[in-house]
Amino acid sequence: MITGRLLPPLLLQAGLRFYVRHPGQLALTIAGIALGVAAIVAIDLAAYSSRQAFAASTRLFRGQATHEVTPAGSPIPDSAVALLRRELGATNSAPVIETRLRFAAQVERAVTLLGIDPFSAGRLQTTWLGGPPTGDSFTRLMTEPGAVLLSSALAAELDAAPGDRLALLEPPGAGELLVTGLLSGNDDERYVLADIATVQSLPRRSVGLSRIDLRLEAGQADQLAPELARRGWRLRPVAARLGQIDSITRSFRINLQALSLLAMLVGAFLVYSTVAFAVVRRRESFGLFRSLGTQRRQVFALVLAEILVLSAAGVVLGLLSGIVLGAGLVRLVLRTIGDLYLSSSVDYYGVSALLLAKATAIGFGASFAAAAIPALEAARARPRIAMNRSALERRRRRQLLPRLLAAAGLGVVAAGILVGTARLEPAFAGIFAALTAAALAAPVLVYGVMHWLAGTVPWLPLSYAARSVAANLSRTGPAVAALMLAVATFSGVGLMIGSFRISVSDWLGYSLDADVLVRPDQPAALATGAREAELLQALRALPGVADVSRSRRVALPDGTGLGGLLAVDPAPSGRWPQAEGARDAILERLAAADRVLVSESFARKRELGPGDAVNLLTAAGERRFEIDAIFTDYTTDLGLVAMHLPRYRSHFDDRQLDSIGLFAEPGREDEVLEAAQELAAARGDLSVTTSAWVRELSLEIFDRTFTITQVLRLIAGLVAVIAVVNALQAQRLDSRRELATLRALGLSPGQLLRLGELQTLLLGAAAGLLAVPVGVLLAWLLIVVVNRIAFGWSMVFDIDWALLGQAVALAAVAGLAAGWLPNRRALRDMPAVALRED
Amino acid sequence: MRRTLLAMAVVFAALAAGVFWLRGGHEAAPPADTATVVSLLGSGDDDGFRRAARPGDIRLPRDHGSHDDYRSEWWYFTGNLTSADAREFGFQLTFFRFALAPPQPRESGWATNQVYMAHFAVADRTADDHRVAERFARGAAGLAGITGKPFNVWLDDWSAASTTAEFLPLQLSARDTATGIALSLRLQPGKPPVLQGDRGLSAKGAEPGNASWYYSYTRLPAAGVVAVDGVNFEVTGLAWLDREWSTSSLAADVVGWDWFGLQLEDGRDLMLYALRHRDGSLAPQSAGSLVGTDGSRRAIWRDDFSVAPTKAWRSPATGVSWPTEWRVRVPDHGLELDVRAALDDQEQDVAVRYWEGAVDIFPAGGGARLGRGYMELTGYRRPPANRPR
Repeated sequence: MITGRLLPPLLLQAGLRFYVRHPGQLALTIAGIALGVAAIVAIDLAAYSSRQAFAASTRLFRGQATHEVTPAGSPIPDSAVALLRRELGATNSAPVIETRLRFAAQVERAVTLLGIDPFSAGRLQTTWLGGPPTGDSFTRLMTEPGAVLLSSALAAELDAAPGDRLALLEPPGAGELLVTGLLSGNDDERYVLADIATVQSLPRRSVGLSRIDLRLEAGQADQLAPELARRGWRLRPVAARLGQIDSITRSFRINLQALSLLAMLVGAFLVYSTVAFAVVRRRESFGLFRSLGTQRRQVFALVLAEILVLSAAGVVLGLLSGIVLGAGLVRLVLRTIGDLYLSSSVDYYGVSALLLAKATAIGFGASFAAAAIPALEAARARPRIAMNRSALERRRRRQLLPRLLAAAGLGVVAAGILVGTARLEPAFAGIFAALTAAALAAPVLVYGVMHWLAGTVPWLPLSYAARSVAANLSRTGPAVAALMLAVATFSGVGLMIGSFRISVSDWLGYSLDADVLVRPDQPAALATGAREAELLQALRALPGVADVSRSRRVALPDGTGLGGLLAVDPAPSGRWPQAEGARDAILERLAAADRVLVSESFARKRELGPGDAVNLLTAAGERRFEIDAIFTDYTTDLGLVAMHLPRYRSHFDDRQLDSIGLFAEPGREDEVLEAAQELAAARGDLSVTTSAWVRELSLEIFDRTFTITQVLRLIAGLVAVIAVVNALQAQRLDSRRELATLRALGLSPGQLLRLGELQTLLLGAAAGLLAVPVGVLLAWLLIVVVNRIAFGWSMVFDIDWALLGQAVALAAVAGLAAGWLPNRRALRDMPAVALRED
Repeated sequence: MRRTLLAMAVVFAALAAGVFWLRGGHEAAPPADTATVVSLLGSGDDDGFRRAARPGDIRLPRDHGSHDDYRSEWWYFTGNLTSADAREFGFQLTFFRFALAPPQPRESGWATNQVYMAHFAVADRTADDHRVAERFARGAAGLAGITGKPFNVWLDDWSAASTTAEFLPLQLSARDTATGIALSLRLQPGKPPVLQGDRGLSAKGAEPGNASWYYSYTRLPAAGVVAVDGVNFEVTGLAWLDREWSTSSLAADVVGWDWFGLQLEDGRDLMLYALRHRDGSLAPQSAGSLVGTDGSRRAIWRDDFSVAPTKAWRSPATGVSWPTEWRVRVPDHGLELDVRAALDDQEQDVAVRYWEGAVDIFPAGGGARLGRGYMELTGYRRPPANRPR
């Protein structure tokens, strides 16, 4: 006899035995929890590691540096340090070249290589070292090719000692490095230190110095900043770097976190649907327990205890797979950050206990929240009625209207939040609210659609299937919601990326309007009028060249150093800039007066528009430039200002060019390219590429940036399939008697199978169709709200119907595929067994 | 001569930037003791470097420039200056070049085996104030270097540069914001250069090749501006340039040296260096020169002179006792002089600790000042009992 104890062991055993007997059910529930937890861990890990890596890279070898000079438009040549010390009074300056390398003995992890000048580092009193290097290594560091010092942490990993030679895998062709000493110290940074000459002689992707660290006196920075900005370099406080990295990566991190929460939301639905199914399946058992005297709270406790055990398994599995997935994701994310923002050396930075605790809490929390409703349902059931499914369905139907109202209310709240906010966090909260509202409304809508179908379609099998789907809403509801959410995420994020890609591609067509790009290897060397004129003449004289454009990009000379200044001498037949209004009129105004164009990001972040003005620090002091129009630019979310090149030169003491565009006569593009390449080979101071290649490269980077988002879409798709399998198993199981009756009425097994498949197809298609408007809404919100807030830029909203069709098809096929096994199993079990059930 | 710097060259070879990093890494780390530096002499690997061997090989103006195939080299400017209101200053601006290894070509704008060090000091006698600044830079990427025509040696914005195609006049420029001293001085031709030792070959030890190339401009009229904490003083006075390059080491029993560069008001200039043994006796290579008003040189050898300390000043900063007053005798030339530091504290507690400063010259036993000059003291240690842990 069952006692009054809250959860008698016997009861729990009975509960868990259910899952043991139904391993598929067990696996689905655990997978649902694990998937959500894994997504959170993986994405958080990526965000956390990128933050840590940036922070670490800002600490390395800074000494007492107060400021740093970084390239912003132009590379920093070796001579910049002498310039700073001999002419600009910044004697406490230290050049750094930072790059990455990979040892053949440690293929899996790249490591930072810092190239420094020991004497310069001393000027910044680099005190954090923790101690002087061991071994007699300094003279060798400066004089022996390939000589390096290893941090003690790295030396331990590599099991390397002074005197060892370490083969390099990356950069390719770099050969070996010679360990001449170790850097002691108790920090666990992994890095390689070498003389700057050693690093410079390794093959590298970029040219020039990575940065120059400076220790400046008060007030010195203000004098220095415009001097450096003119040369295309940026001066900023070291402290600002961390802050800036924070703000740069903030949008990125919030995006990632939002995606991980989305994954958890979908995961929670999955848990809900599996637990609900498990409860539905055991109505008879619960009814029996109740009739045997088990109390309601005991049934409730039983369901929660079950979910506790399952959650524990799911969370552990989720944490483990999240860490594995995260390691892969980190690489993607960091590569993206490196591509987009700075060529920093970033790497995998391990797992924090806090992160794991958070994911665990969310995993358990979401599972309990999701299981609470079915648990209540199981507990609330009276002994007799609990055994009666039709009662459940009736109650569910009575809940339709309140649910719809709740969804509508939530939708209004979401709209309120989204309309009012200019910040990213509330925007995401609004999007979640909107999605939750859609998920709440989904089963109701499915019910409505199925009713309508059943009433209007004259084809009996379809109307029967529709009615059946509608009637089984207690099981199909959550599954439909989960599937709808997953497909909506899949299509919404896809639409956003697609729109963005189209916008970027379109913009590349404007900004890279020439056919062939010529870049002087040493912009400074061309900076005399005669040499530039001579080069331009030579380029114009090339066969097939119709037109030439010139451009120069530097850090924005406005004191902040944030953002860029683009000076362009456009070609009459070109397309730049991408702005509203007639191109010729805009260009004419730019040439005629001190007027500039500003990028969307610039306009939005500084709340400026046409008619307003920006103040720039010219060679003759601060000057006002009126904003003529807003143009499209995706190169930086810090903002870009554009002006006419001759105007730029009259205001700034800078005659360098970064790029010259060659416009070919129609059909003669290849000829121009060849001629330009020949000229470059003969002169030896030019690089030649095609715009097409740069466009391709840009889009490649774009695609790489969104790889992580694609991974998320994949997870969403996976969730969709699991959700459907789950729901269909439940439904098929419950339909056994119904099927048996139909069979008894004379339907052949083939007909029954087709009927079952029709039902599952309907279910999937209904979820897919519902996902279309929700996906479009999601995409629209991501474009119009999130991207504007995070980056300040807009994009065309391109509805890719093919993608949406794909999503619906995916849902339908997922339904069919997921129903394949349950449909067959249902047939196999019937009819005799099923009819004998009562 | 500047034997200090020979030692420094070896410090560089052995410790290179290590000294420097030590200082950066641990503020309490002391600079290398000169005595320990001396003990390091001979440990450097000098293979691949040229050595000073045959007398008479110096050619000017060619040899004003750099000799990268020798281990070490310096351009050593010192002098005494006076402002219109009779305020007196001493100054030192020195550029050292050290080769960490024999020259070898490498593919980088930063690659070099040449390291430069510069010391800049101003002694403000009225304010009893001596300040010194020290800088290092590699001889690459335009940070430091030497050009021949016109002559220019520089490290950062410190430089000594010919103003015409001729070596003289020279413009000296240096400014250090941390210590608040600055110098802008034009050096005019005075006496012609003097080849020290045996036609420029100055022996440092008994073995052949253990020698340096050494010549001096003992008297260069100077005019310009000295600034202390932003206050400018128009000054005139006399400067002295010592040029030396070598690949050599000290004998094992030499613990330090004392150098005197004295400019007398009668127009003569006296240079003496005394290499000290541990027992206080002078090494046989100790020598000097007396330069007449017409620029003619009389060599002075070990047995022709004597120097003896008459007062010790103990540095509160380092605990080292420096002999800041001396009795100097060169009997053959009738010279018996008292040399006294213009201010006691001209200690230079930099990468290598030494004393370099302005001195006054008096007749032995007292009387009116006979001239001014510069003095260098090395190889003095803290008394062991006073050495802090």
